[in-house]
Amino acid sequence: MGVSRLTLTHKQEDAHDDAIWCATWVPNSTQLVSGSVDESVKIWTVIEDQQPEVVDASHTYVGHTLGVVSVAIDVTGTYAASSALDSFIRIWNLQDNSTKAVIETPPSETWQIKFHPASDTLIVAAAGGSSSKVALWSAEDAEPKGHLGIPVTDEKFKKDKFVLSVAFSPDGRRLACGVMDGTIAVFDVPSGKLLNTLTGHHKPVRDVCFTPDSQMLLTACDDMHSHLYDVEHASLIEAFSGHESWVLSVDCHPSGTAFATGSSDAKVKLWDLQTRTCSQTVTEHSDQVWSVAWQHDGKRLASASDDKSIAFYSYF
Amino acid sequence: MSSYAPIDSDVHLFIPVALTDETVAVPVDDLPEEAEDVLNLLRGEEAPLSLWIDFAKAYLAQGNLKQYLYILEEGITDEVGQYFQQAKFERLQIFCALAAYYTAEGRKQRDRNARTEQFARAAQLLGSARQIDYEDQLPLLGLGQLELARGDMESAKRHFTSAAILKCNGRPNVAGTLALASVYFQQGNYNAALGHYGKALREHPGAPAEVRLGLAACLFRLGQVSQAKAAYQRTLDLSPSSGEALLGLAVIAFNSKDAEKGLREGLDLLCRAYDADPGQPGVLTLLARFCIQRGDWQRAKELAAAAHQAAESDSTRALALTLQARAHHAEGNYNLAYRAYQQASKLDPKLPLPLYGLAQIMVRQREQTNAISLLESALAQVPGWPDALHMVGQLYPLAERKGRTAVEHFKDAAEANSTSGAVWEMLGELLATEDPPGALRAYKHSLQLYREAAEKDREQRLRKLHARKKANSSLATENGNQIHHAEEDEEAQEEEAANRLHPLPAKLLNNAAILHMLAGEAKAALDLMQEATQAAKEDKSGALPASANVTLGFNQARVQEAAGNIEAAARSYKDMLEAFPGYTDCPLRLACIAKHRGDHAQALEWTQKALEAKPGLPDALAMQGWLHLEAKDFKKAEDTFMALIKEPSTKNDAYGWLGLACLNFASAPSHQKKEEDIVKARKLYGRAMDYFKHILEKNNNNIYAANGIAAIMAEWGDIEQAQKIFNQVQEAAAASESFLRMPDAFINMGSLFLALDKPKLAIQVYTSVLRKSFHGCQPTLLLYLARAYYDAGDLKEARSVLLKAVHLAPSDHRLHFNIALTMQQYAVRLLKQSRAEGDVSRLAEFEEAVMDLLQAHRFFDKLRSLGHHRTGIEPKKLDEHVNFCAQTHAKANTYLAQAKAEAKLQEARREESRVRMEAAQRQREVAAERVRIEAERKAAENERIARETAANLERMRTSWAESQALQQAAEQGDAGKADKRRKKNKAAAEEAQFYVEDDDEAEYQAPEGQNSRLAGTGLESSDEEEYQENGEEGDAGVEGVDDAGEAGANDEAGALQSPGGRSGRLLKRPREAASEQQQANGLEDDDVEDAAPIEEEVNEGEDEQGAKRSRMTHIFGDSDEED
Repeated sequence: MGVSRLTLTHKQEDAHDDAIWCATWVPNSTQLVSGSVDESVKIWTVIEDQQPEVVDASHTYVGHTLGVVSVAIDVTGTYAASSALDSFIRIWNLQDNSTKAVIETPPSETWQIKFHPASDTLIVAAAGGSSSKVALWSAEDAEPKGHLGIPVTDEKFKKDKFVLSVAFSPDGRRLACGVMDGTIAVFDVPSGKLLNTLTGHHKPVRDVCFTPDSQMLLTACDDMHSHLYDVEHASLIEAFSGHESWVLSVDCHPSGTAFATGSSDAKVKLWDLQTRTCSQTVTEHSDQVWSVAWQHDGKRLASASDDKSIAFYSYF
Repeated sequence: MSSYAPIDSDVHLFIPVALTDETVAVPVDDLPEEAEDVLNLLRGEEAPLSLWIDFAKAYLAQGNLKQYLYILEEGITDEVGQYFQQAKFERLQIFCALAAYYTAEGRKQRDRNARTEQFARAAQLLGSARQIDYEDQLPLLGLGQLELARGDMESAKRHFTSAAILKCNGRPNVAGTLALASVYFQQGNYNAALGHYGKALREHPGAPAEVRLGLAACLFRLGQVSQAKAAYQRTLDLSPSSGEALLGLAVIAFNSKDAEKGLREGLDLLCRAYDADPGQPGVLTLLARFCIQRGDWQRAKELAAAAHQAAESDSTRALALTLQARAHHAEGNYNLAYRAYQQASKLDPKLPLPLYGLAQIMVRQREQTNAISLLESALAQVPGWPDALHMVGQLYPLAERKGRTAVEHFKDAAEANSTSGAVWEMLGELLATEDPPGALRAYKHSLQLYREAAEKDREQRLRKLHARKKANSSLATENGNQIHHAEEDEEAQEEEAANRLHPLPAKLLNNAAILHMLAGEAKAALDLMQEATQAAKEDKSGALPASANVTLGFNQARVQEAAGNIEAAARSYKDMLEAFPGYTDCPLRLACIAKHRGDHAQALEWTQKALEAKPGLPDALAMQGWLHLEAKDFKKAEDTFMALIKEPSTKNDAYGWLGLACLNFASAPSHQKKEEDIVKARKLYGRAMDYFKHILEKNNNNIYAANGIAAIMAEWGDIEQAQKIFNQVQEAAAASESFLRMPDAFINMGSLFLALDKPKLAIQVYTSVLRKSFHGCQPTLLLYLARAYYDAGDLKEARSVLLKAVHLAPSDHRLHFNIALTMQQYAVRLLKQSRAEGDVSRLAEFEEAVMDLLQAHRFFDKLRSLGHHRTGIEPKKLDEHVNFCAQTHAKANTYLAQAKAEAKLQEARREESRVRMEAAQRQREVAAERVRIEAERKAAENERIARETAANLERMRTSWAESQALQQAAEQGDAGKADKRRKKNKAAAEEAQFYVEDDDEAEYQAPEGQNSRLAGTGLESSDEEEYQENGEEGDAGVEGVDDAGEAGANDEAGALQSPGGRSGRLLKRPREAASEQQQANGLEDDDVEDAAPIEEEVNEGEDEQGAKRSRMTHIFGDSDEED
């Protein structure tokens, strides 16, 4: 590691009809799921045994009536969840593409969504936007399973307590959510209690991601920085700068030695967590990079952009 | 000029009386008033023509130029020519003397035409002289001088070469050879000059000792110091009291390697020179100069006065006066200094030093404009004089003036001197304040030249090294010895050393880096800055003072910051701040970083720290003001700006004024329906206007102020004028080649296009500025863009743009309202669209419309439930929208049902054909089978969508059943009924009409009239959104200025200055920037005292100049003699 680099293997131009806002890999597979302003979610399969690699458009899932903001896949790779500006969360089966559940939430109260990492429960956490909380839903029956609320001391600032992003720690014990005012709230999942509030950002935190050991948290913020926090001690370990505009997405490599960020400066950056420096800058896109995602075995990265394209990179 | 100088020092001229042996003695100091009388006498006595010349010279010696010319003019008449036909040489002499006069006159002329006229006259006279005797040298010498005056060295050389082989009045004369030598000397071709001096000496061994002086000067210049010394020594042998020779030896001693010993010896020699010839002006001036260097002003004045007394020419006199002036100047006796400089300048208008001194005094008296013209004259004489260029570069921004002639001079000089990196560097420095793009180009060129030179140098060193190695190795082979390892190592080291490129000047690299940064080329800046730091490390010459490293360190951090490596930059700033607590640029940059990151508290803290280090620091105050303004803390912002401009030293701080202007602009109420609001807005805009105007009065290049004025004009409805100004601002920004980035002017332009009902143009402008300046991330700008699409009738695109805006700023209620509104309108349009029978797109579009109505309803409903206190949107309005969506939805459902029935029919037909096709397909191959499966799959999908849509609709319907709106709709059955009902109820009618028909007017009030808010072209609909809108508009106004603030802060860092037009910093920046350059020069950085930095620099420059000049004078002395 350390010297590993990203090499573009395939670029899917016009993957969607409009800007792509989210993308994530299906665990233990070479399938990527992407969501777009064009209201569709698409599944892409990387065919590995061909050289050069090809990417197949496997399926297009429709049903959302406004742009798709976030997609998530459960840990077994069986179910996909997607949320959109229409504030519906749709749960569907990746095997037969049938819709399993539709969760309706009030407008602007659903943003990023994530599945709980435990394989025995099918719980979706949704960054609750203007509700200032993270809502938990059962993906089995679309029933609410409680919520984790951010204390709002002053009603005047409620608008700033807009919850944009959410992430479970891989061990399932912690949940972090990024807020419009730059703070990150960390909850204890079993008890539902607020543990810490991480500070240091002062602008919207659009993406959060735990390191594989569940100890640290990476952020993507409009202040052009990505932060690395010690979650338990609520301390800022490092601030990463280098993007020339908002950092929109962050994803940690499964090995925990590197992470990737995507920014509205149209660049993807690869960072070395040991030296804490930027080790590579990729300029494949011509517009905002809304999402970066590592394949679960760490061999591949995908980046999705406002320019309607998805780029696939090998990493070794 | 021998022809000008009085050669006859006797007190009388003797006129032989015709036909007798007697003579009439005329005392030269008592010549008849009118030369005509003399001529009459001479004519009467038939005196020889040479006497005419003698008398002419005598008049000249008395300074009576008029009579001198009278005699000469008489001397060239045909009558005289015929009478003195035999006195060829004398006649020719008169022609030449007159030509010399016109040549000199021409030289003096500034006006090109006048110059040419004088030169033409001289040329004509010389031509006549040549016709008298082609074999004589004199006319050719004159022609050579004329060409010199014309600046044509090559032609001069040609004439002098011809002259050298001719005789003068039948006798051999080395004058031609010497003139040639002098030309070569002036051209810097010392070898050729040396050759000609040698030749002159060989041909005329008894030549005056001065020839040897010339020889010595050449040798000195050629670096053959010992031979030069010998030549001076020989001169001394011939004429032991030759002050010049001793002077030359003294200069050699001063320049010797052992400075201390050299100084001692030099002074000793100088004293001897003084003893030998106490009246030698060169010696006296040099001594005076020494005294100035040592600070012995009194002695310096005495010596300079003596030199003045002893001087034989105006130029030497001027020099002596200059020295006197400098002594006065240094003593602080500005009046005396001023007078002496002026006298000197009058005596020798070409002498640059007095002009420079006068300029310094002018600066003291704050007469920048005069100082500039003086410096420009000085530069006309010595193009590229570094001290003058530096000073003029500092002064330009302080004075308002059109046409910077020195810049032009300098551009010419640089073009002509295209191989000198140093000249281009200086051009860059000069242009930096006025024309940053030009400066950057000059720097780039300079860097290239330096690099080429460095490369050449390396090649040369390598070649030398290899040649030596070859010699060594052949030697080694001869000796049959093995090469020792130690030697090998040494060789490898040598090789490495030779192979290394010498670093470029750190200062140049630094300045170029900063300009690259200002131009937005962070990467190039970073590379150059790294090179600069490296070069400074390697520089052991000591030319860079310790402070330069601090500056370089700061700039390195600044460039890193610009390149996005903010964390590294912040660390550097903090380290530097620790080491130099008074370095306020560091906390200011840190404040900028914090501000950028949205951390206002931290930013304020840093500015506070800067203020603690330097109380009242204008930039820190300005920054604080902007921070308060951004936080919408208008009171605090106003207090801060007021504090800034109340201070006398910063009363014209453009930042402060700009801040006040924007503050007033931003706090004007946006909705001016109530009388009190109109009054208030008028007052606030008026005040903002006054402030903007104030800035422009101080600096008419401030495009931020111009932009502000245009914005207010647009608010006042003077669209035409506003557009004109916006155009100019845009042009200025474009002309700056990305040195000025001003998205605001573009945004305002776009809004203006909207106001003028040119949405297509607005779309173009908005799209481009969104991309160029905001990486697509600016929700407010997206809102404007959506509005433009809406106005252009492209609802679909408006909807898409708004969705993206909501995605960026999901908590913005205004965006939610507008997206709902757009969807509502879009749906209405889809439903209303007239369609052809059996239009296949109908069902899909109706479904789309219904979905959009649903969404719009949800958004409106949500906004309503949030309440007015959160959204700032009038509840009544939301109620109306909710109701309208419900009504239209009911109507739409009817349409949808119809469309569905139709679609079913079509589907049945399709099904039929599908069955037919299936039958056909069964007969086909396996591949076709796959196609069928795919078709089936798609059909299933469609069905599923239809099902889900139906489910959605059902769900919505149930939710609506609870709302009053739906009840109403249900009551009425469809929207058509609602129309009828409206007509019955007047109040209700108005409301309904508002929604159905006149939505455009109500919601998207085109900003046409007085009420139009320029920045308020958003889609907001509510009257009571004041707070919100204010905020936004504040943004539009403030943002521009915010950028200004940033720009200033940028400059803070840059070693240069703010590029032209930036945010009023113009008034100040260049000076400070220049002082930072001084740092790199090893000078004090002084922000407080206006005159101080310049004076200081001048003094230091002068010393250097003094040393140069001492050599120059010396050479001039020689050439004077030779002439």
